[in-house]
Amino acid sequence: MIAEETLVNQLQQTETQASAFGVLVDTYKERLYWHIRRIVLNHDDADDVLQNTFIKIYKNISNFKGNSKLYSWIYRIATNEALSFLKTKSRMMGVSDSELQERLVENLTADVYFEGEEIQLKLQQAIATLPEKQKLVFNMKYFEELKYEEISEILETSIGGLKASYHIATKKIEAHLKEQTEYL
Amino acid sequence: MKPFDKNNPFKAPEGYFKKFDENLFKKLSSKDLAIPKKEGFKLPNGYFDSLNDKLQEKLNAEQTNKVVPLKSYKKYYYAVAAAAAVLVIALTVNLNKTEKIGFDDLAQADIENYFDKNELDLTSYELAEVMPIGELEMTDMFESNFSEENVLDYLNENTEYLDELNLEDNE
Repeated sequence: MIAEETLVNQLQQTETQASAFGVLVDTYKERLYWHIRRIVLNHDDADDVLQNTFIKIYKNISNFKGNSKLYSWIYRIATNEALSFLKTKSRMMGVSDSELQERLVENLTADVYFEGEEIQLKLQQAIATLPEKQKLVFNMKYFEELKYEEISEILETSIGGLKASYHIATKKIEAHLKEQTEYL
Repeated sequence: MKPFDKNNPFKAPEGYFKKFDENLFKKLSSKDLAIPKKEGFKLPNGYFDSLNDKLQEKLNAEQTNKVVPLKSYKKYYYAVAAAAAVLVIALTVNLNKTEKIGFDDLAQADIENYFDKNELDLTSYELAEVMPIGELEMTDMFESNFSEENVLDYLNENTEYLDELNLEDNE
């Protein structure tokens, strides 16, 4: 795998930019896709946001100064793109952020790219009830299996704060799932 | 009677405390399994294979449809912004200086002219409603002085219904 520093140098030079960008896309496309998909839930939306993320990276790579690691800069762009996408969507639909979350989960039942069973749907409902930050931390830790240090760099939050957020998030999800299964 | 044994009679399995942490974390992680790891999300076949081409197309399209950079006009923006700011300030100062025109500023002749040329279509009753009759003297209405007797004679001859004038009985 190409070293991060080398990749950044190649991305910032006109003659090597195109091929280096191909390497960058290949390296990050799957990880970023799932990161975005867990935020926006729908495949088509995830595809749009992912493409916009890469285009933004391409256009702004010359401004990357190396103050943070490349992956955390990339993840930060993807996170911001996905969250802004949802904000715009809720504004266009004239609903609150929490109402939008509920609708996104409701839409999963008719989504051809969702084949979850009842428990997976309940899990998404539980995640949707979390505040934005806890949701991000939970997904990044539990599903993406990122280290606290990595999440800390991406979200620019202290590790202690992240641990607390993750702990609260898991407790809430467990409680939600327990409550839902009792009703079944 | 045997003296009370102060020594702890209970025993723990060998290495119990050494393994306590390990067992606890095992238990905690198995508890975490209450949350499913499978999410149920799918994606179209070959999506990631076609992503690079789609991105390249999008980038090419953006480059060919590139709008004329606004940068070249940048130097003019400052001049326009400065001119606009000066204009706004000048207008504000002038507007602030302009004194409000009041009723007193109108020439008497203009007022008379206005009433002459515009049909107000007000009845005497309507006029009486808006005019502070109580504070007016009859002489305020005329430039020439008329004797009260002459006025009453005039009204007597020319007014069909004296009641319409709403005259108060001052006697």
